[in-house]
Amino acid sequence: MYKITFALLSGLLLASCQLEDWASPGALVPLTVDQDPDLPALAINGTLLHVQSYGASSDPLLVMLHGGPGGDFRSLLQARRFAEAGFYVVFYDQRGSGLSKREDKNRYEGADAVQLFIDDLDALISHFQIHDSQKVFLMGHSWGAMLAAGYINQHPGKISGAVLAEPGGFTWTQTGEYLSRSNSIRFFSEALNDAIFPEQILAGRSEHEVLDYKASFFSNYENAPGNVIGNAGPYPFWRNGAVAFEALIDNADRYGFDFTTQLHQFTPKVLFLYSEYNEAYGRQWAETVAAPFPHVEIKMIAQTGHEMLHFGWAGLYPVSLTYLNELK
Amino acid sequence: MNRSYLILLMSLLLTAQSELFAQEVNWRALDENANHLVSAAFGADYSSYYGVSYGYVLRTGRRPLVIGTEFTASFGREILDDWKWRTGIQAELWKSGAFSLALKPAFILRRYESPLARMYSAGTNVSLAFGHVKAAWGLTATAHYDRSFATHLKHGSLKESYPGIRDGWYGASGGNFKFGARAHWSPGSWNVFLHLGKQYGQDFQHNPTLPFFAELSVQKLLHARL
Repeated sequence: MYKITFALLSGLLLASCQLEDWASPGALVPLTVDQDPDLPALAINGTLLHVQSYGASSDPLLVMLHGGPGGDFRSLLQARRFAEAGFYVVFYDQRGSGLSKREDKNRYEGADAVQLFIDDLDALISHFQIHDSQKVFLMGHSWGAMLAAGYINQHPGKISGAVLAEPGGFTWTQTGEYLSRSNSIRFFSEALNDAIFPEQILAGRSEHEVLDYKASFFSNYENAPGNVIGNAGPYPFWRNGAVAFEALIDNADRYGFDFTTQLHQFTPKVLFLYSEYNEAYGRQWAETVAAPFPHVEIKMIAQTGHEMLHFGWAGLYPVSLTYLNELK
Repeated sequence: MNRSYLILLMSLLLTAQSELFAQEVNWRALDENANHLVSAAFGADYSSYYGVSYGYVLRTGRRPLVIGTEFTASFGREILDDWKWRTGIQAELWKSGAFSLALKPAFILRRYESPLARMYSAGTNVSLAFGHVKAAWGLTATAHYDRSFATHLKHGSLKESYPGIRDGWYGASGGNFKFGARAHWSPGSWNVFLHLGKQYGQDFQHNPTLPFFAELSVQKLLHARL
């Protein structure tokens, strides 16, 4: 018996010499713009962002802001269609997210971490806006809509209009209240197992590739059948920026934020969208979050959940286009 | 037979040949005729789970050894997509009066499946328990280290998101610690164990989403030969 055990152990050890490393670039998560020179990239504000643009550069600028933090713009790509309607559409993966260059956690640790994201957006707008009279619109989803509000709060005169799709909240307190509904734990659910069981296998590793891969399993939870936010299933993504997500949540928890202090100065109408199937949102929460804007139109997008720019595109596009054309 | 299945087969054989164990043991309640320990448990650590275990008491030396196996499966709609099979041996290394120090090394085989990916993972686990143990009750402090040394990945919808993702065998993926306290109460030939504690990633920085673990188990000592 001892000989058999020894032989089996030896075989297993021999095989283990050829095992792949979880952190190998490209093995489990895609390469980022600093690793793959073929990806479209823009060096801006001290980092390297994954950026794609569509349309004529002289048309009104429409900057798309993805959710997360730590998400990417892959699920928003149907918005390329706004280019056919006369907008210059710019997508970018936010700092440390998607296919943009990874950043060390300490890059997000100061009180100005959220400001870094606002400054990235400002630098991006300055890069693509070819003259001062070119109008700039923002379209943000979830965290991206929060970031849009944060930008408008600081630069109300630079933006001509905004489409905000289910921002959790415009203050950290408000966001926490929403998250407590949208991410409530269903303890005996398959969704919980699917999200966290791998944590005992991928445990205590600090490499970004490993953390990003592990974070991808969390999408099991938000997209599982019967999910609270009404998603129809998985939606496309490139990479979960685990470090950006965790660091920004920690940062918000420590320092808080308030994107509402100057929103009363923003005079253009805002289009505020919520989805029919997101049980954690609804008309009442939309009115609460949108309240600081002086002029706001609130609309429900039917037959979709939170990921309305992907699953609810057929309803979202005409509503958004009508609004943007009004302000164009 | 490709290398993936060979490694999986070897892991299974290793697990099976080392016979049984994993459940809790009240060393003071093991009388000379108690040969079999049968337990049922439920709890939560990296999922909510339920499980059964069997242990055989081996009396070859001065002190008994318990060799045993434990199978736990996660709650949820899919019954056997996520499970853990732990097999090993345990012994009381030291005792003085009611004080006891026990060691429990084990092999662990895990399976995980979701729409994103399927994993088979082989690993090892070492547990230490030190405390005040009497026949009727006891309280012990416990420490566990668990490390995965080989995992086979087969991706589902993650492959749609990233077609370049590589299936196959991956090496050591990290480890985790658990520190806790275990109380037992033993009426007659029954034992009831309550085990509570906190769990960490091995670097104590990247810690699990559920920071605490809890398990309640009920065990029957059987004297008859099975």
